[in-house]
Amino acid sequence: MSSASDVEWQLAEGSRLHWVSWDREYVVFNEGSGDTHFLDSFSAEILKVLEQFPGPEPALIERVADCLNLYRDAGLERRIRDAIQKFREAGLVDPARA
Amino acid sequence: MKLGDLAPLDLAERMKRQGLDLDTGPFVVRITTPIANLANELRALYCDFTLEAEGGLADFHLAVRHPAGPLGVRRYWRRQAKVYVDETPPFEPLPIDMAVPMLEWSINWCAATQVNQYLMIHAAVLERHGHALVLPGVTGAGKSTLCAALAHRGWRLLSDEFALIQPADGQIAPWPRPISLKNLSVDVIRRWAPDAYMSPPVQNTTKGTVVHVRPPAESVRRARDRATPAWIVFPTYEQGTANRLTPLPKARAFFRLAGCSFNYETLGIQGFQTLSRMIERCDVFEFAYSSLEDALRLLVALPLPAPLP
Repeated sequence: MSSASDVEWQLAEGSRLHWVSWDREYVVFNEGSGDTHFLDSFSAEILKVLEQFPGPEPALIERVADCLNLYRDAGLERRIRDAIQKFREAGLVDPARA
Repeated sequence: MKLGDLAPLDLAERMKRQGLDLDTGPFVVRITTPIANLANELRALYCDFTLEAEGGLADFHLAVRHPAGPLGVRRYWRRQAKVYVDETPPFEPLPIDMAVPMLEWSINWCAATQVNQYLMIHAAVLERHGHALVLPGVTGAGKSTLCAALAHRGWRLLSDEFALIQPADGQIAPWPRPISLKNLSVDVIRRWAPDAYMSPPVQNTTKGTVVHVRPPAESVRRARDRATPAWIVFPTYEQGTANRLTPLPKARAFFRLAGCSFNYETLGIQGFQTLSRMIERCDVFEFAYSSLEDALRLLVALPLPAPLP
């Protein structure tokens, strides 16, 4: 049986993201799906990390905490997992088992 | 030659036979009809538009005819009109006195369904000193009322219904066709611009009472002069309110505008890039208004956006 830490996250197949931002709010166009997404700065940072460094969830959480200069605790981990889940529902990311 | 230069009988004959090729700026519209009264009403609304030479190419082909009815009820069918686009009717027949609005809606329908060389947003557009004011809005928000008011007080009309944005440079192409007014706004604009020509009111349409206002001659004359978007203002008419201009965060404005677009999704990455660049260069506001005089003062005083770095 696999655990969450076994999951590697990556952009959904065929995705190519285009970004614009104003006042710390982001608009992301996925050329692969043709969908446009609205992201706040926290979610945008997670997706940017995931875009550049696909990989296992713990490493992703670590990198996001570093980028945003946030203390890594259970609350932060939960917020990041929630954001990834929303990306998945929006067709932006896919899991790949390690 | 302008449409207004054509004698009424010559116009009726031409519209009945080969049709009228009207240069509306970005599109040549070919209209054919045997209904003489419709020809006269079009002449009044489009009198300042140039006629294309016969035998040329047209972008949209429309015909307005009496629908072919069953034998024996010919008199009933003669009181109906049906628009055909490329010989296919997009809408059900309507009473003949609705022929002008039905034709106008059909021309809009042609653009909304056939044009993809522009990013098209459902918006009125006006211009001052080369800078375009874009007024997107859903039906009933007060967009056309504001548009007609501004177009008769120093602003150049680019369009009442379509912001046509060129992907290559972000400029807006004019399409200065008649302005559609509904219900209470008809009398408001009649008082505001008593010299403006309005088509006879058409009652009981799906939108209520509708009239069309002839576009100012100068706007028609400059139908090829493009303008750079500077302000995007989402208007809402609120009776009795003090006029309020509120900055709108640009990322949120992006989705409001994409939602008002006829072809944002169809254009894919080109739509995203064109819309992004437009929002980047514009100041964006929500605008609640009740007084046209105050609205005019407020909009004239809008500062130019800071130049892009």
